[in-house]
Amino acid sequence: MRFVDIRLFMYDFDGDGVKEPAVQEYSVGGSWDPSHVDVFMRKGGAWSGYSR
Amino acid sequence: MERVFEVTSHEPIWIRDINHDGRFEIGNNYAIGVDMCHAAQPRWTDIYGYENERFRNVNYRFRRRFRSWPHKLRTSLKQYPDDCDVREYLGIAEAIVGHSAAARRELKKTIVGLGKAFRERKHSKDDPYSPASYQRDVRRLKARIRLAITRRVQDPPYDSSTAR
Repeated sequence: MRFVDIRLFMYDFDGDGVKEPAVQEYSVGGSWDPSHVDVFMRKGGAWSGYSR
Repeated sequence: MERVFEVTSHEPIWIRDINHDGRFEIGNNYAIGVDMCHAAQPRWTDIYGYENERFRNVNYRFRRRFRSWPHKLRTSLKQYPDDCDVREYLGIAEAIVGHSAAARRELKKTIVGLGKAFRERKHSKDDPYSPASYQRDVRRLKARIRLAITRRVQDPPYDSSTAR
């Protein structure tokens, strides 16, 4: 699978007010060209659980 | 940090807070149906959201978005009455909009249709339908029938996030 455009976005998926990283990968446009999304969080759940 | 969700699609994947509740959802559009050409395939959207400590299919939370789907899929089935994929999604759509009896009915019809397809294709060289695939499909449909009353007919392990 060959992606030509990879972008990092931050969105709040769990509603705790802290954004989580989402990586979106796109190939050249058009039907049947794949796109992919990965979402990352701190192990054990949301970022808000991270101790300062 | 760990990856908690991934989805691959043949169409652009969207990320939006579609109900403005402060939680973003991920949408995966894909074509359904096996008996028609690509252009005639209905485009279904699965919506994923973070709920109870994990990502899951949350179509059931957006029943208004699926309100037109039973009619749309019934129209498609008039032209392609043996398309088990479309009929399964009709069952899913009926469950999401809260018509659990109709959902169970369509999912049971899908099992009957799969049985017919299995009998026709089990020895086919061009388009084989293996006993393992048939049994897996029937298990998935039976699970959906059990879940139809909850409207969460697409819960894992019958989740399509990585299946398409």
